[in-house]
Amino acid sequence: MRFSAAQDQTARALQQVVRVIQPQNTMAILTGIELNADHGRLSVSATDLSSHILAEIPCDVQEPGFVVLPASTLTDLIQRLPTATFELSTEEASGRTTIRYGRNRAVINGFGRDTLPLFPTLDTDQARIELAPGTLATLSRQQLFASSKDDSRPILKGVYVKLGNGRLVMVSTDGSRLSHSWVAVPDYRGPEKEIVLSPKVLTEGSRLNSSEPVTITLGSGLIQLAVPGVVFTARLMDGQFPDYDRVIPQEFIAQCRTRVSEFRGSVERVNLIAAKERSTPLRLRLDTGIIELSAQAVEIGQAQETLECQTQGQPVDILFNPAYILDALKSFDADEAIMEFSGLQSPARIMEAEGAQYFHILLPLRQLV
Amino acid sequence: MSQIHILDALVADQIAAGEVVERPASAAKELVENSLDSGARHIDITVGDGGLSFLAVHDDGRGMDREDILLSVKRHATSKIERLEDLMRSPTLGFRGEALAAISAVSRMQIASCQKGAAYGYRVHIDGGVSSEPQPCAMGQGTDIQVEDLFFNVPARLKSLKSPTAELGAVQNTLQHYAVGYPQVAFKLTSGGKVLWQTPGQGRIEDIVVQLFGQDVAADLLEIAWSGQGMAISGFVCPAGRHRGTRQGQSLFINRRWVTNWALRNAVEEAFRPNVPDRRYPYFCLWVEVDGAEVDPNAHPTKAEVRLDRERIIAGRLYRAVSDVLATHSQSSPLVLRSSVAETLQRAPSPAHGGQLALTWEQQETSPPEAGPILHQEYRELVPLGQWQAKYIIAQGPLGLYLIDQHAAHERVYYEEFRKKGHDILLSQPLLIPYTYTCLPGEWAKWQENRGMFAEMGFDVDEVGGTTLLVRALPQGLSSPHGDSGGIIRTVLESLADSEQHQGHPIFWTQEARYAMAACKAAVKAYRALTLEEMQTLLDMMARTEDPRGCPHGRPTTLHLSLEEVDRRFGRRG
Repeated sequence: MRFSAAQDQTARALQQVVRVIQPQNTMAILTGIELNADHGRLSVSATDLSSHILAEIPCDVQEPGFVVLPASTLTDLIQRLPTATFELSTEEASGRTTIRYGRNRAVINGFGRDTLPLFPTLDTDQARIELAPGTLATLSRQQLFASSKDDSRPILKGVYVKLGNGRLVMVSTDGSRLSHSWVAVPDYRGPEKEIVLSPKVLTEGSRLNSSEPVTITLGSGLIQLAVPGVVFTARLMDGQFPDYDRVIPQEFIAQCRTRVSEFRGSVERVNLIAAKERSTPLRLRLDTGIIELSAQAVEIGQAQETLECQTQGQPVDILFNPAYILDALKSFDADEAIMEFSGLQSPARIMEAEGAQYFHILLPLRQLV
Repeated sequence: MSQIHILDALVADQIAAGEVVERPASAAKELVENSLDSGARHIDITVGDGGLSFLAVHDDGRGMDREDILLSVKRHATSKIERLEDLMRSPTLGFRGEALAAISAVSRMQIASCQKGAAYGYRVHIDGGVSSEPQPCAMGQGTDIQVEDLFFNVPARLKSLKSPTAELGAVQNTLQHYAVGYPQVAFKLTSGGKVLWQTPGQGRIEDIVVQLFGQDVAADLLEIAWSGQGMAISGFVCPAGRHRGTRQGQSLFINRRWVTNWALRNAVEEAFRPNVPDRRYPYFCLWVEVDGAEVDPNAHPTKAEVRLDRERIIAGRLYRAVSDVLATHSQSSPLVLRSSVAETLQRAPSPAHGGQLALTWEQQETSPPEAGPILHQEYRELVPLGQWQAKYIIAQGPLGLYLIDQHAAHERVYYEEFRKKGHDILLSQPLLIPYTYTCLPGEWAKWQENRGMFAEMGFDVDEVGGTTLLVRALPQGLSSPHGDSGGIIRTVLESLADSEQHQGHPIFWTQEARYAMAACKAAVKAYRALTLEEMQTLLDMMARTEDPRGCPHGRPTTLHLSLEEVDRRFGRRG
């Protein structure tokens, strides 16, 4: 293989694919990036066996071929090249690769004739949607914090996605709180689809989708996210996502509407006290026109703040895990939030006042006396 | 011709010998037990080549007549029981009637015995299980058994034995237990014409311990005597500061029978924690007397393992008896009574759901954290003199000079603080989406025993059929230590399953390692210079800990040098 390519384009393509490589690997080849030059194009790809990413750039191919090179060495080197272009040539048999830039050159030992393990390709096109730039980033912000981080219920580490009726719905839960968001996909008219994505898909997707619209395609057991020049494919998670519908409260006994920044500031200050002693709850008292937030840690002290807000319904006196409330408030973008209570032992709902495409459910703590 | 036939008696005996007589030490054990059962007051044991070439036991017990001697080497011949029920209540150590037969089948044996009041005794030679005609012989009351060439007809077993020195060691170890266990019997162990040790047989434990473990251990003995709940515990322990690298200093007797019982031994060792470091073992010698019907000694060929009714109750009682004695003992580092399991459980949160929340904070009197009561006056009275190596605090007190490891001491302070906070968890985090956990069979039994305790801890769990649990709420702030796939409920069930290792509140068991780790991180390290005020504060905090003697990892915090000790070393006395 022999080709020459632009340094900046190649560096960017390598940057995009290097992210899927796991830091620890038992299979050495998985630490590599595969380069493939043919028909005037250079494709670079990497995989961690659960996902696969491929980026393409134009290049001048003198001799088609392929090689797998150690990812970090290649990426770091190409990034630091002082010249606008470079030439890369590989000895077919040994995988020894020479990179020439200006009068200088570097040699990297490749993985010989080995290629990356084959990743399945999307054979059937079961559903296809397109999302506007930034959509996946917003969804990630709303979803990822709520998904489970521990292995006791693996399916809860994923994000549930339902496609159909003109909507893309995403749900994440770790068992004690839940995020629910949707975006409109008016162009989708196919059958209803339910899948569970690993959080990595959302993280990668929001990077790809940051400035360009992304095309999402579903195949059997696979999802593909494509932007011009880059294709990211990942396996779907196996398993049954729990039936979350019935935990979303339908009736509320009280409601308040506050400014997110004020509310968040208050919770953060009260939490300074609460967080000093583990398992200290945040106490939230709702009365006509006010919310009172307080926490008391026996050996540290106490804090209390009162916020003015619009309230409706009964007075409420309830305990929450302060970290959960803070997480929810941090996921909001709007100026105002609405918090609704369905009872002392029942879930509360907190959501942005406008848009209402996203809400978060959290369960109060129970006090043992 | 039929393929199945009945083994002749000799082969059967040799097979039995494989189980009962593993090595010279087990032959010695059987013979000494026989002597003890015969009411002997003096037992002399002579060993040649670690018992391989020669092993003789001479006692002054009841003795046997001519017929008994012949019968004694027959299998299942015993004077000790007659019916199966006797086995349960057998006051004697042996009961199977197997030992002599087994030993005689694999050695050349000579038995001489004379009954009380008889003019002369009889002597029998048994060679590989074949006995000669008894010959009258002159001897005093008692029995004399000589075993020569043990395993001469079982070459494979002979090969698997260790060196004579090692076998002699094993014989000594075994006999030590009996010497300690039967202080009223005089033992004498001779090897190669030299008396290795002998006990006076006057019933004083101290005399025996001096012989076996040395003067310094004997000087420290703490006596234990407790009875109630249908059992009696007696014996002695050494303070936790004395320990050794093996369990050789430990003897446990159930109804005068020397046994190894994992659960009971653990309960006793637990009482010494945290003051005995890892892989060091305390000294103790304890007798447990229970109703014979509760013990089944017929569980193991050598009877070293026994089945016990009420094992956990006995273990709990042993733990308490030993920790009480350790607590009252005050020497270099005085101790306090540890709170019992029952008290700890009372301090734990009790269940309640829903209803009104507690008072609002404005109404509640809160005050800055109160320092706990002073539990250890002797630490309160310490005055720091300075710091040595930026690692140790040198302090003086009314009882002498103290060296205190600053890191270990501070670690102990934090550890107790974290542990106390851990116990104060009063919140339960309900789950939006309950999950099911299917118990393993052992875990299910634990669950059923401890259902109430789970509710107290803040779990809300339903049984949904089979061994499956539906978990609706978890205690807040409690995490499973290793990212266990079964979650916290498995962690708690597991720690219940080996609860013999633990005392105190169950929350503590699952989190113990975490608290110890957090304490280690939070505490001041070595090589940190401290001012006198800082040292004084640390010493004051130590006085308020429940147990200032050791850090949570088992290292001691304090070394004490008494004035007498210093005087003695400088030769100011005597």
